[in-house]
Amino acid sequence: MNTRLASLPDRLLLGANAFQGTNHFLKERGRARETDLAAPRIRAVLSAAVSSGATGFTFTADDEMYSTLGGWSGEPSSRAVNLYVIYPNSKLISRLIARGTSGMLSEAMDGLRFSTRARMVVKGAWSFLLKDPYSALSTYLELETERLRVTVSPHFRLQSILLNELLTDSIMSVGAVEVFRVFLKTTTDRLGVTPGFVTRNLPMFIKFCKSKEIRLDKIAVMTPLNPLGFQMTPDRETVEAVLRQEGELKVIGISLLAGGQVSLREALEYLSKQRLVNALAVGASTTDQARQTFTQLRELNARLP
Amino acid sequence: MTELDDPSKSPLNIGIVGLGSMGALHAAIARALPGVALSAAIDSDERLLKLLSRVLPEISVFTEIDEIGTLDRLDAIYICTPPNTHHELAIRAQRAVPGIAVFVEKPMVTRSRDGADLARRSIESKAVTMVGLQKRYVGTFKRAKEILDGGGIGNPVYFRSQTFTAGVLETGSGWKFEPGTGGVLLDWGVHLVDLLYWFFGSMRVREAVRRRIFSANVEDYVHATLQSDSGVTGSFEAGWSMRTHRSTELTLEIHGTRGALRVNEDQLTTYLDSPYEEFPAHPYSRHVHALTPRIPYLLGQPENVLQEIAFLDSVRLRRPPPTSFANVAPIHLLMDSISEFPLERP
Repeated sequence: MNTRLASLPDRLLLGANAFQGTNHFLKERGRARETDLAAPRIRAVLSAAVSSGATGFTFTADDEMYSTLGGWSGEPSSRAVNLYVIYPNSKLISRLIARGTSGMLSEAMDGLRFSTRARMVVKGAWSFLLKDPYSALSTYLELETERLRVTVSPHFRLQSILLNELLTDSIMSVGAVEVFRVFLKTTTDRLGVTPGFVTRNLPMFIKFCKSKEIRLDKIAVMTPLNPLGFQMTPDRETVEAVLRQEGELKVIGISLLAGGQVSLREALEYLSKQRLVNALAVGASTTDQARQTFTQLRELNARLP
Repeated sequence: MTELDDPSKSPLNIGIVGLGSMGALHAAIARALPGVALSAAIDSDERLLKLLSRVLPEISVFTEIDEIGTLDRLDAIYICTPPNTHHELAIRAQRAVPGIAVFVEKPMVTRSRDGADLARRSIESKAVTMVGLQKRYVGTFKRAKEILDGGGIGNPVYFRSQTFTAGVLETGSGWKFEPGTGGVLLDWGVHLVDLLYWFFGSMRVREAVRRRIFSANVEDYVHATLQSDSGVTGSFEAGWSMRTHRSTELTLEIHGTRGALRVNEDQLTTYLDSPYEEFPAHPYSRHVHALTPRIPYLLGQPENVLQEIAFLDSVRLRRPPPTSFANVAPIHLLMDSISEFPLERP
């Protein structure tokens, strides 16, 4: 019961929440942390995390982050750092909010002008989208991934593409399963990466996948896990029970500190009691914090059953 | 268990007007709750409707709200369009389907006279109506209200309040930046005005200043001195060009005769002279997570889901929710009063 059958190549991931505006900490503490996280500093934090045991990095797809990673020297890692990238590109989300769905879709297509194929798509963006929205989704995934791969340095390897939680949990809710299927097929067959989903509704997600015959052993899931049950819907006990039952699922734990309500030590004590996840993602905003955090995580990793 | 969990009830059929981010959020949350069917979508953009039909063919789509009258049954409609359309669309929805429950995203209207008109119509029709002012469902604000009502800080005397975000750091375009429909007061300030009305009752403006820094024709920042009918007075600030606030933050500090409290979306901290319920007689904080009830599904923030449950329960029970049109309309009198102050140049 208490065994995870699945595996991921990475156990410890640096999360980019401190760099990308998703600040999970209390607002006052979050403001204190909102210092100048320019590209050189992000690269320094990444190096510190890697030197202390992180082998993966997870972030939301974003042009600036691609550029930042393009300038990383790879030091001190002797092997490529695995990327777990959350789609869609964050610019699309901000456009959605600022310009509405219609404006966002037009602009999203407009932003993909860097290749001949993209230009062809842009030329008839709406007709393409309306004629076959699933092909359009597949094309978006391929173009975004092409952009990522040509921009980041060779010291990275794209391990997984995950659908962000807004899309995962919305698509599941309205029952648009074909979107999931196209995402899974494109990421697996055409991009050669592990497909993943970010969800704050894990039990519902598992139930949905099973009802639609989506194979759980083929996907990764990034989901909150902490001793307070913060963002674990409907509650911590139900999420834990599902994780124990679904040993084939590749699980990446996030929100380990429950939005700043618990210390890393408390989080680690909770995680060390039961083997619920394959990997952990934790953010850090300074090199010192990255070293301390990942040193502790590495010690936990050694103790895990 | 809410009314929505009762399996003996037939599903509620809902429709969404406006397929933007808020329309999508309401559709997804409502659909995830038990006993709710997403039946109709209305948007002026035919391309969006075609796209939706390709992905979710079971949903009826219309370009005009009046067409919902052709459906066999529609219990509730969510209006998630620009605020200057809310008044007309709410009236047309109720003409098309008499008695239909209407949810309108904030702000309810852009002019207080439209708000008063919708309030009057909803009272006459006895239809369930609600405005999307979800801050009332944030656990910290809800508990703060209970402390105030229970006399935990004695009689409130004065307050400081602010809602800040860094959402506008360059010149924008669209209805959010046009006079009459835009500006930080209507977009973000309305949440704070609603909480102040909820906490202290009816209020009036003693003075106000509206400034712009990036926008050409609307205020990016407003501060005002407000006073309630019961004599509570305090400062009100709203700004959407605050580089100091990467995420949106709404903070209230209330001082009373026997204590004070400070509350935002994350934390409630009390400073009491004597213990009150779980709050001791020294500074004490509670995190929102500990003050939030269990929810069956999470998208956005818990308050979005709790608000959705409250509305759909109200529809089932045919009872007015706390932010009904009639209850919310008066806050637009205060909003109009603040907007009458001149817009100052940088």
